[in-house]
Amino acid sequence: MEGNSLIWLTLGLPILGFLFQGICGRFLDKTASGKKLMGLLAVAPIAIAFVIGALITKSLDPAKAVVVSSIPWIELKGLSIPFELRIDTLSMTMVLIITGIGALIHLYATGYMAEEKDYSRFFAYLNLFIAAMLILVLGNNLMMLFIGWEGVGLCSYLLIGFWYEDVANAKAANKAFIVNRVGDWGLTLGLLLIATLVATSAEIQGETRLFSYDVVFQHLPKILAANPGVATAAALLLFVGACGKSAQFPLYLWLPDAMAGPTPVSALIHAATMVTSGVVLMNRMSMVFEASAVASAVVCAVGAFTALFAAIIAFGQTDIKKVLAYSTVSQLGFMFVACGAGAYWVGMFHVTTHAFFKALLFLGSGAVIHAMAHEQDMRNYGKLAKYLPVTFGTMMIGYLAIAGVPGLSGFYSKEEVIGSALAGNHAIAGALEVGKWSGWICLVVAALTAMYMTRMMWLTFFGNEEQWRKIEPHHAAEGEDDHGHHHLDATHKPHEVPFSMAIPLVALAALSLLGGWFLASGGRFEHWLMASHVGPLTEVPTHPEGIPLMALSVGAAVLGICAGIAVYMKGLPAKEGWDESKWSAFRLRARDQFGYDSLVVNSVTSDSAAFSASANTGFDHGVIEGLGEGAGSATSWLGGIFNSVQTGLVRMYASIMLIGVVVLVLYVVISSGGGK
Amino acid sequence: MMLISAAIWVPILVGFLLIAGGRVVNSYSKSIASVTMLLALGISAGLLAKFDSTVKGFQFGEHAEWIRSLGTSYSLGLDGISIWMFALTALLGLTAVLISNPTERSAQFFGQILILSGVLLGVFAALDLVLFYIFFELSLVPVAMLILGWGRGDQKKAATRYLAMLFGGSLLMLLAIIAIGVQFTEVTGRASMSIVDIQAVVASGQLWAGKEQLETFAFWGFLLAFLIKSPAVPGHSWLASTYESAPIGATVAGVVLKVGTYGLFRFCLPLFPHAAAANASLVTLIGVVGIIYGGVLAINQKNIFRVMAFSTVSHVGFILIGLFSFSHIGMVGAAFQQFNHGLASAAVFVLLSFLMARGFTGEFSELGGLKRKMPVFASLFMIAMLANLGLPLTSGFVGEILALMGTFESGYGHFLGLNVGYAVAAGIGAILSASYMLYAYQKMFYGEAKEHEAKDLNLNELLLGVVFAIAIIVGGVLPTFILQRMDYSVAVTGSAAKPNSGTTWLNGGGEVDPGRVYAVSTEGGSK
Repeated sequence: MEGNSLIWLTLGLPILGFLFQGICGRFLDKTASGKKLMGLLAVAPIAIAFVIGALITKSLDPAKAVVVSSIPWIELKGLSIPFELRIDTLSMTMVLIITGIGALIHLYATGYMAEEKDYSRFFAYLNLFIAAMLILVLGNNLMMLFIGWEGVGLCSYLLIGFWYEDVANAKAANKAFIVNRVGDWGLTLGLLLIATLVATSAEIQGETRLFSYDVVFQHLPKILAANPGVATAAALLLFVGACGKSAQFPLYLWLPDAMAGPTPVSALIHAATMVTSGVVLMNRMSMVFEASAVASAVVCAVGAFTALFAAIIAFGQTDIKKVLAYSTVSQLGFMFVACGAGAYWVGMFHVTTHAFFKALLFLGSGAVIHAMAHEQDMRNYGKLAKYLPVTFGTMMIGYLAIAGVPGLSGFYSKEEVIGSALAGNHAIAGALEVGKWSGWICLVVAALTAMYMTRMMWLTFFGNEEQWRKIEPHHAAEGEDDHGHHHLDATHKPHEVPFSMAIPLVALAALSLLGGWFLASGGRFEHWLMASHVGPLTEVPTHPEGIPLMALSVGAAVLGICAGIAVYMKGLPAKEGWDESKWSAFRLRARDQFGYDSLVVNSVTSDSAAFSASANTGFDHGVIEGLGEGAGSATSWLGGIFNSVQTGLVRMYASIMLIGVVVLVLYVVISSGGGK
Repeated sequence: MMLISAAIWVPILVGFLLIAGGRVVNSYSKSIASVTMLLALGISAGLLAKFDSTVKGFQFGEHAEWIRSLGTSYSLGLDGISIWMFALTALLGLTAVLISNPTERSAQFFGQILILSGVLLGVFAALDLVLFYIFFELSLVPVAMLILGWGRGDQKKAATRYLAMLFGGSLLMLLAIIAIGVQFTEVTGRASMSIVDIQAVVASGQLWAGKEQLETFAFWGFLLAFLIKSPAVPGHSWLASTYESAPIGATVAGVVLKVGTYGLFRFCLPLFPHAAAANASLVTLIGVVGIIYGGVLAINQKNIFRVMAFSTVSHVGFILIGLFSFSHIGMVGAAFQQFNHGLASAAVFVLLSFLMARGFTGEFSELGGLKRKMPVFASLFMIAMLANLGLPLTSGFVGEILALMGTFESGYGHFLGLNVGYAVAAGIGAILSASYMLYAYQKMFYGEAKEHEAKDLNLNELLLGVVFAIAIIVGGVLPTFILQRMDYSVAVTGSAAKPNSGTTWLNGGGEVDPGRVYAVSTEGGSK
């Protein structure tokens, strides 16, 4: 198995890249040629890692999971958690997505970030992210998954707050990390519960790798089957973790704010890879969810609700990245529905196709933002198709893919999500067929998706007017902002992306166009991925009998697109324009997430701040410090016998020591007396 | 070889010489102090290298008769728990010397630091109750002197509170020590204050037979002293004022070391097994309350020193729940966390001392935007912060997760019992630590750079900062190096904490496999 230990190189290269960028970068990235060099050295490790990953995947026997050599990490009596990697079809699927799409986005970022002063700091974080994400998917135990889980959270935090001089960005970064920690709370308890359960298995005496997948998979099903209540608890705890990382309701609210980070970050972390970790987790631990129909029903219900809720909110957004952010939340909901319905591989299939087209759409939006002097409000766009032919052409493909047009990648995976949910074989809570209901909701959301994406495309690339022509020219003095960018004004001429940014767009467009068809044909992806599942799975057909699935999903896409074109053909409608008093009440509510975010944030920050403050001033200062104060003043009073406090303290101390010695001597006398 | 004694007494002796030398040695005092602490660090590193993790009992033992009628002896020794605290004390003593540049009376200042370090080394090596008590109490004096002589803010108030609370807290411990001595003499007919002797009689079940009330009283005498020293809620109010007022050198050398929780390990569990078991749930509750209370209060503080104080209260909570889980994994976690806490807090304080050297006071209102001006400093502070919020692959993660797992493990036997509730509540500590640490970091480093002069670290500062950063990461990536040396000693302590176990430090608990003592069978019943 020498070829397989090359996997350590896949993991090591991004770490080396991170160390080099982080330590040497600051000295080298001051000049344009230095930046070129650093850019090359940032892309190269990821690209090479991808090639190695592809070679390993090629020689992988899908039926056999390989565990690659372990190095001790935490070793004590009764517990052993090594660094060990697992090569199977699930982990390698993710490795290829992470390094493949990761390399493309790194390449794109060399162009996108070319004018930044902290060039190498950006790539240091980005390389570190790749390493952490690889640990998450490749680790062969739940603790390694957790290392990666927190590691990607850290990188996400660092990159959202990349432009830290604006405190709003730093706050968005804090929000992301803290909300994720809420999810991590559930995940921590879930994996500790699982390890504790595994430890109790009678046969396991002698096996101490309580967190390792091979050990867990061997012992857990029997324990869970005997304790359905515990199975539900474990599944729901893991699910809390998945909700945090994969931005599901009620924890989704960090993801829209995460758009404060540079756009390549949004594409890589907040669309293609990190946010899909929850789906990877549910695939990896599918046996826990299989053991609890109730938990599966919760997964379905939360996924379907999130998909619908986020899709509606997307209609109220005018920031192009926010539209894509809510779209991501919504699409993640689709993946959750598939997992809840018992079709775990369909969830991963949608992860894969979504990685293609959503990364493409984000990079495309980045190209638009780049072309429009960092303006992100779609109300300032319009008729950009003729200025940005490459961006337009590639984004069109991404758009058609997410809308679910037959033949493109999104169509295949989305149809199977809906189909597997409508099959209704899993996720049944009592008499309530949550799976089926989720399927119907997803069908509605598919139409909504096609419509709001049409809105985004038409406001940006079509219409009758170039909206930014209406902006007053800026004064020369105000011509540049903090990052050295020009402001958008009427004189602005959009410019197409450079070559380094065009290559990733074209490559991702090709994947969005053909990837779904290639993976779906002959059940290629299904057979490939199902091999990594351990334990019994519910049989879930993706095309249930008696339901005209094809007609329904094509119908939803066509309906959404036509409705979108009908409304937005002429570009920005007056009732969605700058004058927000003309907006419909519903759209205004949608823009503000129906008050959910402000409700949570206000109550948590202000209430906890108020609570913390009152606990601090009231209780801690009053009562607790009072204890210290009392002890202190008693001492001072005693010490006041002497003149200065300093000498007084010491003398008093000495005298108490003396008293102690006297007591000891007395004790000696008494005890020796008693001894006789 | 008397190596332990050398590490203890050389710094104390040199410290007194420096104080006596006064003005004459002012200009050499820092060099002298550095060399002295380097020697102590060298000795403890040598001991660590020679430490054999499979040997029963204490290693490098030293024993001399002292007061025969009292049974008090001068006995020293180290096991897998204390040797790490011993080495850390030496490291932090040296660090405290290196980061301190007192503007006046430097000979006295460094003298006090040396005495403090030597006495604390004695605390961690003492194997005799009276000897321990003397070192424990003596360690209070140099800190108070340092606050009064070289502190900031309301020094008198801080020093008074420090002495009053810690001294007052340990008065009952003195009574408990006397009670143990009397009881020991009554049961065995001879006098001894050696904890090895005493524990052997405890393990046989004789010492406390029929004297449950006395055991409980003695347990609480020790417990209160150590809870205040740790500190745990509600005995924590001395910590914030001490962090605010003490010179950072004193904080690093003396205050961040977890003497209190070490005392719980060394005395409360092995000497009072019935009382410890009976009160485990209560102490765990104190730990959980501390985790949440400290975390909530840390969010809203207006300067970084107070944030660190409440963060300490929160972290101590994890040590308590791990230790009183009586599960081997949890106790190893507690032992690791008490080591890590000294390391990770010291890292923050070392970095803060660099900030103070640039004229800042630690108030958030005057900080902000420092990252642009001090990028290297900001990166090192980030690493120290990540250790404090328990990120995996930093030393802060290992102890907390193992402590939490221990709580879980001991709780699963009664699934609907309180212990799972404890684990669920303690888990919230991770959310809180992220909140207060990230907000503190944001207030210090993010936002527009303010109009102040702040140069990035010089070479000496950089080296010291990097040493701590590397220690934090090595402690997180290769914790096994530490864990393996703790494992056996923790197992013996855990085994001794069971009533009438027969486990002594010398027999190591015989055939008991401590790893699985508290495991639960598949059927759900306790074994």
